[in-house]
Amino acid sequence: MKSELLISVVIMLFSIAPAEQDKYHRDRQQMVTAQLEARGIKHKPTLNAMRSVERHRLVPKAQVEYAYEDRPLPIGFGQTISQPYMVGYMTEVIRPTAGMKVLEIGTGSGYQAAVLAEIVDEVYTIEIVEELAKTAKSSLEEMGYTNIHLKEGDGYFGWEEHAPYDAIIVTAASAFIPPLLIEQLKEGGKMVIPVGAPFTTQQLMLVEKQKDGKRKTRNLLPVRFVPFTRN
Amino acid sequence: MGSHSYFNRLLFSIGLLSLSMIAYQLSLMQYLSIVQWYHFAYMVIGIALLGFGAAGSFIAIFRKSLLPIIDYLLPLFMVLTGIFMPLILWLSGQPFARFDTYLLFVERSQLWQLLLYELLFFIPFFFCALAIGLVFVKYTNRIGKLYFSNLAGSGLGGLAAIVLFWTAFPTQIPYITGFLSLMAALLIIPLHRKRIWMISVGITAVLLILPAFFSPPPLPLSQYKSLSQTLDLPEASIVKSANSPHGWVQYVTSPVLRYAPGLSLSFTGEVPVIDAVFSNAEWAGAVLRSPGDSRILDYTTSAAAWELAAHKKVLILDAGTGVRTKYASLKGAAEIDHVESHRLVTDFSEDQTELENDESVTLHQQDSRSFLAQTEKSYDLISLPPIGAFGGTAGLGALQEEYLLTTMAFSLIYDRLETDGFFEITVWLDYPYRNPLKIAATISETLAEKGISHPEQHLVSVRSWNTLTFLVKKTPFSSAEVQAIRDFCDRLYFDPMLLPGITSEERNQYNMLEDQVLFSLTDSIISGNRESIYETYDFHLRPATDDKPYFSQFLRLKSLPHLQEIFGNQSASFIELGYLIVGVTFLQSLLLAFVLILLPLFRLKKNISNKGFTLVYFSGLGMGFMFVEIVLIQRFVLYLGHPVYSVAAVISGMLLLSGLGSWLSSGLKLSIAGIRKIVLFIVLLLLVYAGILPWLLEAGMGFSIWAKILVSLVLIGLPSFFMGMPFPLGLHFLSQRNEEAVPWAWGINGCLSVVSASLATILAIEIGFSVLMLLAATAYFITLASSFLIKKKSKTQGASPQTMN
Repeated sequence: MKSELLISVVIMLFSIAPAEQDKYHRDRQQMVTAQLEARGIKHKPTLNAMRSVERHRLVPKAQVEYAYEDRPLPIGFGQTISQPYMVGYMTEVIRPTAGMKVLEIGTGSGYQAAVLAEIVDEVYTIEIVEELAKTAKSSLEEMGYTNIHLKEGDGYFGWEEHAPYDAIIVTAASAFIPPLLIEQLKEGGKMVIPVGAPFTTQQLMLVEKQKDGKRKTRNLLPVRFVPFTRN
Repeated sequence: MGSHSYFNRLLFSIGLLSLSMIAYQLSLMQYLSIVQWYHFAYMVIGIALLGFGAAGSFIAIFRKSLLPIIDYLLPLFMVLTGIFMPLILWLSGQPFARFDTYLLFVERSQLWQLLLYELLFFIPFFFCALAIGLVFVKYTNRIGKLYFSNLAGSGLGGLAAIVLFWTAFPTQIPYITGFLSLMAALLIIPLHRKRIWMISVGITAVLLILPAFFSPPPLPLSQYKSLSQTLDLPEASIVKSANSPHGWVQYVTSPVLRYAPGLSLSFTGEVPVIDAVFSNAEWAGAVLRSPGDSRILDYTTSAAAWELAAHKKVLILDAGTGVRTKYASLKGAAEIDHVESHRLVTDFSEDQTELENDESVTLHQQDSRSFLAQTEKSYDLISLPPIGAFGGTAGLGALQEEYLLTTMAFSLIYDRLETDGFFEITVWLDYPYRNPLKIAATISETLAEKGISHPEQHLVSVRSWNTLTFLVKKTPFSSAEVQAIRDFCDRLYFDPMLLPGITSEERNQYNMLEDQVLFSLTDSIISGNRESIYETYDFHLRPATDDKPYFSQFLRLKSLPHLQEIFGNQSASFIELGYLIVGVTFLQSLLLAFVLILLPLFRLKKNISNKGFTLVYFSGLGMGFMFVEIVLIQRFVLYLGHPVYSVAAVISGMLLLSGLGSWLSSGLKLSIAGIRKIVLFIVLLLLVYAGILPWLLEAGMGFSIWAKILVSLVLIGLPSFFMGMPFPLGLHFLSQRNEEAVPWAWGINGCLSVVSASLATILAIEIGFSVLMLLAATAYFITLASSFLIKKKSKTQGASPQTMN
């Protein structure tokens, strides 16, 4: 009797973990459907990537239960993991494909890097805060990403050894665009910079480096504010 | 116990305790401004009053048990006050109690954390108020002198706080005020247990002082403050720090700190590494390490002013760390007036900037509005500080008085321009658009007031991908100047937004916006169609005035549902977090006041006669006094040049002079008719103040600081003196008729004062200071009217109900 009870408990314990994983899987699919597709994200590689990346493994323990909710989450050091929709939107903007090489300035949780890594060949990501870099590196390695190259350092200099890049995402809040990053962007390449206070991204800056040498920016609005007008 | 000598010691003790409490209160306001944000400064006023109100209720319920052992309780409560002042500060920084402003609308538990935070800070005020309250209840026949001692001590507490801000680290100050509370206890320890008390209190005092000076606790900053985020950078270190009434200032270096706001995409050089100065843990300015580093500004929109002319006489307002000043010097300006009121910011950056050695620069250590009022000079260029921040400030500046961004300030600035002079202001672009539209509105109204019929000829603005610089000229821009701006924009990949003769294609060439909303709204504002924009736009765009100087308050409550629909529940909160926080603290203070003050008193209802009079009279006093206090604080921020000086002057001045009034009132033999006359005089005086105070202060803006202090004492003291009378007179009246009503009256007064502190802040933002002063007069009028609710005494009660003494 006692041994039967023990066996039942062991079987139960082993079935909890897969049940939990199923729940996260369901939440992830639901997230893509309700938060991305419903809001107009159409780029299939982006949607597939976000169905695959286990976002809950990249947030602090206290935030795991909220990992797939429609909002950014605090990850410490005054930083956030972006709202899933924003990650999807930014990814779609740069139109990643296989064969591309992408640079990210501001690894943060590593989620954006993981999403990109599902699509492109190589992701180079730089994080200036030591603790965040260590945590992201460890999490991404555990998750099995071999095409994400993370270094702790100052993103101002970019990552010259692997330049030029097809796309650059600058999530680290910076009041200016470092000239070296523009140099390391391929002609015709795209740089995306989210702009907004913590916990909200109101707009994205898309920087284009044109063949005639000119640089232009385009302000993209993931959420379009329509002023209320009477009549 | 009843001896003359004991009573004199008691007077000193109460005075010292009150001094420590007010100094503690002001230090808490600074502490919360550092670890969180400015809003919580007003919450502290409410918490202090909550302590007093709750103490009143406690005394009301347990007075029969408390009074017989008052000899022991008084020093005990003072000792507890002294212990809890620093202890609570330490506790509030522990993980279980820490709360973060930014997480308030992210994690629901933060609302409870905030409530816990308020309850923790309430404790020392509660014990302090218990001591003071028991004394008032015991010695009602000598309440005038005691009240004077309480309020005189409180008045001196403001001055003590100013001294402490200059001499002590922010977390040291509660230890010092705690020590003073212990000294207050020592003055009145029971004689027959003197030795034990002295040893205990002495040891506690030493234990308090040692950590204060050898190991003050660190400041538990919010992780979202710019200092916290800067210190996370590699090799970031604090080189020096110092405290002052203006703020706690730190100089930080890091090899990865760089500064180039809105840098042009055409720039290919090296962005200079800088040092930085922080005040109250927020960015106060960059410190350029070498003079040539300011050349980086050539590649920002703020260089537009220098494309048009070589300005010789330049005024830099709110100059901060001198970046704009160094730039003006580099560009060849011959006379630069650098105006900055925060002495430590200037001092800390001086080693690098060496502005004192620059012959073209004259440093003025004063606030910009006072300087504008005093100077008779005219300038070729006046530069205002940048507004906003990269990515926005989440509305955390909503409660900040910004007297340099009012229509009156812009008018003064315009008047200080030479005939062909400019003033320039740079704004960080936000979304939804608020800052640029409000600046455009402020400029437009200023030009309209000056009789400019074609404002579009006098206004240019240049836009980068994240900044917008406005240039305003007294005379219309010439065609050469217009072409110079076009060339500037082409060279640096900027877009003109406002330019005489501009085409729509020019506006959106290099930094393309997804829609035309910014342009169409700005055009409407400039062309004079402002009122309809003010009425219909989802954000508050009406320019700030000296009566409502909250430039960064954009929230319109009625628009919140619309914003939540567009941005989602959480994101909408971060658009204007600051004002929402005031609403949260108001509701929490309402709840706490009801639970801690009013609810316990319901047990006493049946023992109290003249409930109507008691309720209305003391409510009106509580509300009226607090409304006046908040209005005076706000008005004197402009006059004295900084919130801390204003808070200290108003709180000290009001308490001191009202204390004097209450003391003198104890010698008056007044009938209820006499009280009515005093209250009526207060009502009339406040009505006069509502009208003439702004004018009087404006007239005196150019006075020297000492003249201003004298004027402040008079203007604050006059109404305060009379406002100090009705409360003790009313308490004395009640004590003769129904002594048990005294703590009830005190509690009612405390409750309304608590609620009124937050309410007055909200009202000041919504309706302005003048109307708030009228409301204060109304509150006193209601107090006056309540005297007609007094029931006549029955014949069995003896003496005429209308006379006292």
